[in-house]
Amino acid sequence: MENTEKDILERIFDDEGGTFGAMPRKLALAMAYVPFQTWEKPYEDDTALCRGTAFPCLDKPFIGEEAVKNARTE
Amino acid sequence: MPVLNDKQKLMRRIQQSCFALAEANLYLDSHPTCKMGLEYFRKHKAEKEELEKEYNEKYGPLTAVQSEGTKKWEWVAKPFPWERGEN
Repeated sequence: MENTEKDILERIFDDEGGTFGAMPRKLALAMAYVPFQTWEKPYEDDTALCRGTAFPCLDKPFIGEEAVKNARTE
Repeated sequence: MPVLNDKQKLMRRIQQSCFALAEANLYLDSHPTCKMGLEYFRKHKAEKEELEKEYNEKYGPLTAVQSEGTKKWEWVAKPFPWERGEN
């Protein structure tokens, strides 16, 4: 990895033994953050195609209809 | 799930590899030096090339440009990849 890029990533992210963590070391106030995705074991190819993503951490099905059905009415 | 014939099974595997490549592309855009990500990409790139080669040999060109174009334009010689029915 070119050292400039490595320096930048190391400066920004918590460096847990070479793999970069999801959150920056220092968080500025009043700014929104999206955690940085880190590698994980992807789904098998057939599962990935069905789930619409290869990464379990991004597999977020919309459950609107179920959520409404389960909503307590009283 | 409908029963797939061999051609459809091979097509499904090609689709799976292509999807994995698209995912690898998106991930590597923001993680260009991630070793595991690059490995995942290389694995599926090789897999896709091999599967497409197999498809071209067995069922004719998957895309027009994959025709050999030596003796005749194979693209129109066999049913198109999306056509159902025989073969």
